[in-house]
Amino acid sequence: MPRLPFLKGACWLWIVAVVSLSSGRAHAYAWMIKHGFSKCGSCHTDPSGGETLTAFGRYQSEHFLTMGGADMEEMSNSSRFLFGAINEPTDVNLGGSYRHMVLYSASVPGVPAEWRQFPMQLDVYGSGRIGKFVIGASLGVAKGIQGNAQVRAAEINKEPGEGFIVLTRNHYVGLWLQDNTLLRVGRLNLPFGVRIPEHTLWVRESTRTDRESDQQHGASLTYTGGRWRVDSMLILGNFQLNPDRYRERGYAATIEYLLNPTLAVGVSSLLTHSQVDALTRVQNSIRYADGVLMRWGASEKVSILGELDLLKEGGRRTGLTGFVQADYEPWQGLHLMLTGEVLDQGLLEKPGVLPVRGSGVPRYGAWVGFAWYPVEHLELRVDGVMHQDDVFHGQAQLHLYL
Amino acid sequence: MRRIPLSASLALAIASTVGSASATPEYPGVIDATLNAMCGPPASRCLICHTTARGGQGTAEQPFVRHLRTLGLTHGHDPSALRNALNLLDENWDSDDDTEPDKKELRECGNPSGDDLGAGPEYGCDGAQLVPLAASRESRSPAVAALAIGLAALLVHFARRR
Repeated sequence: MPRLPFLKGACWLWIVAVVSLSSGRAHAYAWMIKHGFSKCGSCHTDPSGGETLTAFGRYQSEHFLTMGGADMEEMSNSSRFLFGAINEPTDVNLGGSYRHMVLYSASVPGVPAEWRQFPMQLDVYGSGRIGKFVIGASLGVAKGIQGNAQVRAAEINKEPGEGFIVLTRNHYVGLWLQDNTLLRVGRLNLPFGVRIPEHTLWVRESTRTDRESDQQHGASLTYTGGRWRVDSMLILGNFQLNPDRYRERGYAATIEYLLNPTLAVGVSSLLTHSQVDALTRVQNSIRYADGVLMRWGASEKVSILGELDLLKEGGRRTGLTGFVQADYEPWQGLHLMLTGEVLDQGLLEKPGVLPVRGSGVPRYGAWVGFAWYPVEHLELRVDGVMHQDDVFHGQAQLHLYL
Repeated sequence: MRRIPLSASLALAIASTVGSASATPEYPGVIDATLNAMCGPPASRCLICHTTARGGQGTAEQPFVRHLRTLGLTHGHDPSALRNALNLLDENWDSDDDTEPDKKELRECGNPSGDDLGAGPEYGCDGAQLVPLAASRESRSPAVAALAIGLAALLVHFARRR
């Protein structure tokens, strides 16, 4: 597709207008496997993907992600951190994300349709390496989230959520034991399932393994050698959550094997125990999930992601969750995504409770989405989300990343 | 590509207000307003109706909300339906059979679906405050005042020497 200079100008004007009239993080795009990038650590400082980009990742982001990027022979200065304003020292990688969300909920009889918009994320993050040691962290702010059990799990300050709060989703120190083996200690993304940006997808919500605020403190060991990626974590609990009885202890792990350069299959497992479940208040709660995953670059334009997990939460019988996402990229930088998902949390173990969709029997949902990467540092995304027993939801998202 | 003015982008981003990514927690407020209670919106109150403090469609399975369904509350995001259901709720109805009527429990910030929820988990790191506590501010003020006076005296002293 032609690279149009005026298109960039129009995009930036649009960003300015949206941000001015209203008030991210660089994500792991698991579908990059279609370009042969099966190892997340090629482009991200986290060997399992997400957040901070390496210098190579920034180059590939411009070359493979951005509309018109394939025509570029070398990385432009503007694709670097802060649009090239600052040259990071060698072995230091920095980044940041601003996400703004517009949500539409369709009407039901007696309830009019509803529009809402809110800034969803304002984070900076980075990592550095000194010899065999690494250090990484993220820092962000949010406001008005009292009553929200999700974002607050990453809160640092003790104030109630009515005003501003400061967040850190990740922070760690690490040691490269070998070139392909990293040991880290800190607050880390849980290694479970396909690392996707859609944190409200049922697989991520029900297994509590999203990258929004489900990270936990602990120690992780990541191995990425040959065809294998093994990421395991000893979970010691979220120490930004008090008191201790609400903290989960256990493990999470993913093992992935590359059948060929564009097809990876794997298994994931998670098991935790807490004296009291922070979300459900079930006493002496044991929670586990076990599943399979797949990432497949079917062609240069099509990729398929999938995951299926068995679930067991304290107070419920066994359930399941899963998703399949097909990503079609007709022109570089423009993605059409179709996603199907299923959730059965398991029937509540209480007398007199009958199965309903999502609890005792499966509930199905579908997403239809478009993502557009018109210029470096920018993602625009629109999704239609349809779930059984729920109204239609539309989501429009602007993601500006440094 | 030409460089985008960084300062403009950052200023716009910072000037905007970063807020909630959650569903609007309107129902606790509706319960308080309808029953003249003042219990606020802590996340734990989601558990009055939902099986998880994250709320969400498909998790409204607690005994209290199962009864409200029979009174017309059949979907989320409908404050008027909740208000109507609460008005229709019998004063003596007891969803969790704990001998305390649901309305009485709600007025006392209790849980009509089971055991009292308490304050629930606290968030943040111990000792981390964006704004110092009022008490600590008061205790510090004499020291701050003394420091300020001392600095002022030093400034005056050096100014006179010149």
